[in-house]
Amino acid sequence: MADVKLNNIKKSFGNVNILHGISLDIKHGEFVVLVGASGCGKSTLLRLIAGLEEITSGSLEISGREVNHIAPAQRGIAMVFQSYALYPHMNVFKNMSYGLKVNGKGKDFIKEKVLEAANTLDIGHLLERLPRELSGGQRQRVAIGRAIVRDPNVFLFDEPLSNLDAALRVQTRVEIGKLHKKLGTTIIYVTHDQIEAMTLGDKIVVMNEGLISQAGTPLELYQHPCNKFVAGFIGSPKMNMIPGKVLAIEADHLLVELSDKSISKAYVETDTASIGDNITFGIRPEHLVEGALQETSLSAKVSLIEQLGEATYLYLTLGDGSEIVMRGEGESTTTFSEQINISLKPEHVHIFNSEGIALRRTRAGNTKSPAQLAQLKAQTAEAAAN
Amino acid sequence: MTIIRPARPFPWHILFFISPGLFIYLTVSVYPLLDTLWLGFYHEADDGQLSFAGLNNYSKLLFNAIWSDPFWNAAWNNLKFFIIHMLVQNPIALLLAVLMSSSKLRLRSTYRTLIFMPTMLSVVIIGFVWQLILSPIWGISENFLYSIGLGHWFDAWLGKEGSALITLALISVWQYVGMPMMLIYAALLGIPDELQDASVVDGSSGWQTFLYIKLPLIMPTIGMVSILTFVANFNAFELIYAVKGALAGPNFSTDIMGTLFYRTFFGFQLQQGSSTMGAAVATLMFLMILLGVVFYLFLFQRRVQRFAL
Amino acid sequence: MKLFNLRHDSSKKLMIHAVLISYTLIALFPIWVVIINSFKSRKAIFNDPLALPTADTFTLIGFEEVLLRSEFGLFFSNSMIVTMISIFCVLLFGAMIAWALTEYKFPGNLAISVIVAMGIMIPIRLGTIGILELMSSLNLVNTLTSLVLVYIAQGLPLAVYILSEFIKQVPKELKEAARCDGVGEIKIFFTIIVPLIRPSIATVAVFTMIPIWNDLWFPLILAPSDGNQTITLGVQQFIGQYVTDWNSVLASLTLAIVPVLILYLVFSRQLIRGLTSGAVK
Repeated sequence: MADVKLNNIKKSFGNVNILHGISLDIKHGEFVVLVGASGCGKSTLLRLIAGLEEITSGSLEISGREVNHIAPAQRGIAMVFQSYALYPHMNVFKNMSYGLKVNGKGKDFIKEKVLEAANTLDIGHLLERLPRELSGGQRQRVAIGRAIVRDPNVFLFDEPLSNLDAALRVQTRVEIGKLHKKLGTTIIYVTHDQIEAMTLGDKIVVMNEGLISQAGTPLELYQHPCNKFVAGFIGSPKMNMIPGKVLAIEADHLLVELSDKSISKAYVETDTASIGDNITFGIRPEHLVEGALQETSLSAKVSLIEQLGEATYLYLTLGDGSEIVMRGEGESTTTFSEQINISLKPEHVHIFNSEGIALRRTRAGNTKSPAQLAQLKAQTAEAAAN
Repeated sequence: MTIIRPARPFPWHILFFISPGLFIYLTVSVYPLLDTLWLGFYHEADDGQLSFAGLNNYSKLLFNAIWSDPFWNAAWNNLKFFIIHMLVQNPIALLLAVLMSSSKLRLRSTYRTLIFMPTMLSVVIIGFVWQLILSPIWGISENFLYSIGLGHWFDAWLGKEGSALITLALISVWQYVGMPMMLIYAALLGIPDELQDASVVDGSSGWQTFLYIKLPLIMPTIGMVSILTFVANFNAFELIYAVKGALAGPNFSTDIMGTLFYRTFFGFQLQQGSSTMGAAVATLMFLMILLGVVFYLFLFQRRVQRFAL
Repeated sequence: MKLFNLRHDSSKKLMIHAVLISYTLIALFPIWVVIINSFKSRKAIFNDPLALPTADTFTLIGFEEVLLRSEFGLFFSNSMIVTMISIFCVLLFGAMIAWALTEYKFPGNLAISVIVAMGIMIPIRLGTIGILELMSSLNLVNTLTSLVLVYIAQGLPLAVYILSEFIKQVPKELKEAARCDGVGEIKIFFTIIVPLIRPSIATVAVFTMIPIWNDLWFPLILAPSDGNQTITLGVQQFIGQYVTDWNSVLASLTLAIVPVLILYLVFSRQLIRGLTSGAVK
């Protein structure tokens, strides 16, 4: 089983500490996405796992074996690089077979492997071409093909879609997702794009300044971001953050006052809160609605309208000047500089304390990933059968 | 009514940009070269009168023993001079460049600066410096060789017919190794790090990565370095002249095309200089260099492709 | 199983440093020996060539002789003048030609490009006989002007080639914006193109300077007589005359080497950046 275990991994270049202690368990077959702003250490972490950089301290296990001092090629990994890193002087066949060739594999074996991978990726007709004769998407496939032929236990992807145009990016993203289902191997995937992270990952690891901010399923991160950084990172447009104060503490909720003096309930754990605390009130744009239909309502002035068709983004200014965004209906008839009422459900409110740590929401919905759900359903079916 | 269309103005600005440089280039470089090639077909009488001589000068140079022996000697020596450069200078340059481009190497720029230093100095100065260093009178190299146990190897290398040319070629290599080193180094730096990472992940050793990935990618640069070396070698003169004089001794054993050209044109002790014979030698040098360049352009550069990195 | 732990890595590094240091020593040793011995007495030069000058052996006699018996300052300034003027003209005229050839389509563009490109590979030296005839008909023999003209012609082809590569990288929008504003072509060149290709100037300057400063051939043929020698020719003639006077020979070599080395070390960063920059791959 190709589990990957990271145990308190640190990395420094000279005096500069890049990673401050990363611990992470990755199970066999899991698609793990490392996501974070540039400079957060996600690419460095991937290079450590690949063996391209040496680990300063901590231990890295792949399939139950410590690999800190084992050369990349012996770790059972394969990597797809951001620029694809295809050897420009070799044709596609040679690119894909290079790793097998230098490892002394036989000609027939190599040919069989390459053709198999080429068929999987539908690039069989390109084998004689040089990389420069390929389109961006084709190069991407060849890069993946070069990884597949080595039969790795773990695939490492370093921002593989960032060099593709928007349309191709979506298409390739879907293909990578399907490929993962087909191959069933572990994938560790680095990106700065939260949509890629949300769509591809079984598990998302949000990194910030050399530390893991939070790791969990996409829905977990969406429903229960554990701090302001994750809350702001996951979701588009970003979660609105409005400063506020705790007015009262009830059994299952807080009563908070926002900077524009409006008051709202918030269904979060109340143990650590006390009256008068400065907090940040978080609400996602898609959880705001026009009109005073929901329990908490705010008054705001429209400062910009973006119509996307399926939705309308309204940029609003609250009474005290705070700016927020809401995702309204596509056919919204609101006009510029109109004063409107908007409202929200207290169940959707996120509360962050003065250190930016979230108070856990108590009335959020499902957070399981499709894989987890499938497992659960299978178990229930099995139990029912018995 | 007629519409008066302004004629397109004469592009004076193009003339302004082109003419100063092109004028100097055409008059001082192109015209004299053509003039020289043309002069090779003439015969100069003792009174300076020119008469058309067809290919006479060339048949003398190539087949008349008085002329052809020195000519073939110089051509052959020049070829040896070039081969020594190819076999010594470029491999050393490649080795140094590869070592210098290894990742996270400290003092890299110091090495670069110091190793390139001799290239900046005049060939004449270098020639004299080595003449002193290798001089048996001073004995500095002899003592050095004794101190590392190779004393019996020492000889007056620059003075012996068998070794003078090789020694001079090695001095030239010593001076110029910095240039190919720099060009190859630049080419190596141009190879993206990710390619090297990819080959490491693919499991290739440092040597395999060099042989299969880096070397093919810097081949165009190595080709260019080779043709530059070729042109420079078949055009060399200063080092031999500074160390051995125009007679390229001992017994013409260090005579190359440049020194032969100089002697033929200006004359030396026994023989008067001749501008027409000089022009014929220059023409043959021109043809040799042209041959090398054409060989490079059509046989080498066509096969070795450049790859956008 | 291949290990790549720290020890292995650092021993490899050590090997690399060992090789590079050895070659650096080989590159520097002859120059070093000449310089230190130029400050020593004749006896000390022969007794212990590798020793540094001590209070006992230190002498400046060689330098005194050289400065007395030859005009080193003059040679040096001759070389300076010739090199500087040539480099300036090569850069200016080279950039102008490069700009015209890359920017404008006009009849003869291709022909001029080919003729100039041939100059990169065909050494100007082959036309020496023609050059000497030309210079004597212009009454320029034995002048520094003849050297400057030859060196401009010698440096132009490579300069045009390198500068073209840089000019091609100037974004089209910049020129078009200027033309829309009604700026003339000549002004566009001097106020937009020239400032933008400034980084390439170091590259061209190195490639132009080294062969000019170190040339012996043309000074020997075009300006060999008193007062017009360049430093290379001056040293060559001087050493030819005083070949047995070791103090003078070593001192003259030192005088020829040290200024160049100082200039080189001051500008080495720019020079090397020029050499390794993309245009000359």
